[in-house]
Amino acid sequence: MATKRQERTFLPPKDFCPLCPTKNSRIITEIPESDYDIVVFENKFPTFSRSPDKLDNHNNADGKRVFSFLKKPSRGICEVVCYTSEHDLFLEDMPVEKIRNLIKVWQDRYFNLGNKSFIKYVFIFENKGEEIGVTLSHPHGQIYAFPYIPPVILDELKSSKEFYRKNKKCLHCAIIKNELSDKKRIVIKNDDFIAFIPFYASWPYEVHIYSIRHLGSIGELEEREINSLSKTIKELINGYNRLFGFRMPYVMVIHQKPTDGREHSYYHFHLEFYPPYRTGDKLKYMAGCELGAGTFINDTLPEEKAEELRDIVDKLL
Amino acid sequence: MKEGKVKLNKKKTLKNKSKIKKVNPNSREVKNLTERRFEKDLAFKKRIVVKEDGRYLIYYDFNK
Repeated sequence: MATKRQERTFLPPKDFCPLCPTKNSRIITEIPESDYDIVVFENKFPTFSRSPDKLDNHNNADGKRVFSFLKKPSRGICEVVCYTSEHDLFLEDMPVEKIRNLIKVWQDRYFNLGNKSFIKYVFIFENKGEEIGVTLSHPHGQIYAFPYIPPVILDELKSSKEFYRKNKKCLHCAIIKNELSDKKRIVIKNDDFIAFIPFYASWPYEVHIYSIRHLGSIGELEEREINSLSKTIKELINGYNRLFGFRMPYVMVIHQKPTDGREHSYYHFHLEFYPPYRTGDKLKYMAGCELGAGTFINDTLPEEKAEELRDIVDKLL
Repeated sequence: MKEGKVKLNKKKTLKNKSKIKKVNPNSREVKNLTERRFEKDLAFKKRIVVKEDGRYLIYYDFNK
């Protein structure tokens, strides 16, 4: 529970954007300087805290013994990453060099946060667009440094480990091999990355970007791969924007191995994009079956949607 | 495409158990290994400022 987040700033006008640099001494933003390249700061309305209040599961404020569900302090770190000082310059509009810089910042945060003894997982993500629930439009992402491995990652780790035990190879490397052979679901392919709509996609235009080399985390990317990933991200988001003629909202997440001190060498670094639109004017909603039964219904064929996106991306190049 | 090679930790057997150095998986000794390699390649200047409310803010400057 993070009840303080209810008070967070909600869609302020551009002149009052808290993520812009401070241009006017009367309005001090989160970033007190007049310009910046990339800035990272602790979230003002965090889900986790570096030093959370201690919880007493058995006594109330007066020291009287009461029944209570067991709770744990939410110890962790929540950061905001401002990609640029320009309010309207989105990730896909930036030159490849700037996206490369952002990836280097992500790498630095992965190591810096992951090295802390109480951090077990560094989760890097971006929510974009009001449809996703974004409260600040300035181009930015977030990092949640978890004190535990979050459940979706845990599921992927379990499946990857099981697959490795049975087949003596990486699950994601096997998927890449199949996708390269089948070709139908590929959207972008270069020497270092493959972007495709997986056959198990939950969202119509869900795209996963896998590193072709077997890597565990963003920290293992070499210079050439950083460059390739920057281009892939830029091409994909611009492809999304061309699809329906507006900036496609999305959730972008980075899945990588935990920082719990274990090897997890069977796991494979990748990015996932979940755009919520199924047509230009229709959103896909999470409803009864998705929320109540944990079963996603995809109304579309990944092969058809991949072809649509691939044609658009090809024309952009 | 060549598939990535993956190594899983070999299970400890009773025979070799005593030879394995016990390490705390959360210790800085273990977690620092990768960071040292990375720091050689840093491409930016980093400046950390602490705000009045105690939160940190980090400027990453790539035009160093």
